[in-house]
Amino acid sequence: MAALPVVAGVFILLPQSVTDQARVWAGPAFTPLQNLTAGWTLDIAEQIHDDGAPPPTRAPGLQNHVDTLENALAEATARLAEYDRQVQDLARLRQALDGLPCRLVPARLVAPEVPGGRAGGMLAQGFLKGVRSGGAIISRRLTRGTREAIRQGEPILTAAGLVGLVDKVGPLTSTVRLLTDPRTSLMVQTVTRRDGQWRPGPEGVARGTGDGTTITVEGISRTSDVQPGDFVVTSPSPEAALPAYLIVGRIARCDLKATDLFYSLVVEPRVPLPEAREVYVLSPDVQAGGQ
Amino acid sequence: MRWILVAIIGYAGLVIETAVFRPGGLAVPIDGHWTRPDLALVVAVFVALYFQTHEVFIVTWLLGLGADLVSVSGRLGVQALAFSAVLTALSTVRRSLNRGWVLTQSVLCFAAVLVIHLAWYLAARHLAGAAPAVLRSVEEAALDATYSAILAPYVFWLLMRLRGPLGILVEPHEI
Repeated sequence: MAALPVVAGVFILLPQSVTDQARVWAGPAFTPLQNLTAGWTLDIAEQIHDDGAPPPTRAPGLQNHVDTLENALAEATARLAEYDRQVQDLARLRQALDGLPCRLVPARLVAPEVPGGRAGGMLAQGFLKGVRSGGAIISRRLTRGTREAIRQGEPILTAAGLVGLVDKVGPLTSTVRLLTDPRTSLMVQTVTRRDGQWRPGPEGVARGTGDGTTITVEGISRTSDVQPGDFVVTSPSPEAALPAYLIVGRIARCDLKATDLFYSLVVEPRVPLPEAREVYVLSPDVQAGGQ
Repeated sequence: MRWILVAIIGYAGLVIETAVFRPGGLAVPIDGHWTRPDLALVVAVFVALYFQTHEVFIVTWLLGLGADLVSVSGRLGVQALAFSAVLTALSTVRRSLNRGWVLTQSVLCFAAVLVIHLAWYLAARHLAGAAPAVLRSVEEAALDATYSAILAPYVFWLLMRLRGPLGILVEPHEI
């Protein structure tokens, strides 16, 4: 009994933190009726007690919301830039076509479906699908078909120039014969720039070499004024199947043997054909009575 | 059995005090102070009047420690020391008092609550580094004492109903 005052004195001398901890520990034992009288209370501490309801889900923090909006803005800006580029391409194409009654169908070129390139048994299938030895791609697939009123032989181009021709047309997709395909044959004309002036040059026939990167133009007389760097465009001749002055490429080499009467012009397509993606199909405008 | 009953009564007093006599409940706001009775002290006064002195010391010490644990301020041990000191002193003079009178019960409870609560408020302010605010402490203690004195006769009446199990011997006029 005499020790009790000493114990009380020890308690008094303990730090306040110990006292508070003891109250926290012992508190629940002396408050079993808290919930019954909870509606009476004005104590803020009791007001925030968990009454069994699930804690509210925290809304995303402001910083997370800002980050999300910034990401969306960056994505929208990138899309807008892409749309602007497409609009500019279309504007250039329209200007180049100079009022030709036609419609430009946007499309996308995809890689040919070649199931592997090294296995011997696959080479034939690759050949049939437009893949030559060395991996040269001369045929692609187009994401447009009869559903968009695409027809065989229609030119495929970008703002930079001609890419190829529609080959086989399916309901949803079509195959594309690129300019470098040996089966591609176009009537073309050279365009030269001399002394700051553009001049039309002689006409010839362009054929793909099959290497995936070059075209050969035949029938250019050896007396013609042509040199590397000159442009090659589709011929304005009425016999030509394509609209006139679509850019085919630039002359890379003028091969001429001593005994030849004609140049063998090696032309590089204006558009890097293996990398072309977003293209347009030049289709006649039926309502305008197009070509 | 007797001590278990005493423990249960003391525990019930503390629980009722914290559950019922709280802000928004039966605690009364007067001049910025939530006035409420100290039921544990009223029970301790009853013990001081009807138990042996050595028993009073231990029981009131424990009741005071319980009151310390349910308090929201101050240090542990202050009310335990105060309860045991004041009520042990009271138990030494209980024979000269008429324990059965309501007036005696109310006055004794008022005095006990006044002294102990005054000491508690002063100690709490001092230990918290605040100004002693003696008059304010006296006002608060007096308000608590008044509320306790009003309820004391009713608590005593209830506890007298348990005099048998508590082993309390009383005179016929004290019932």
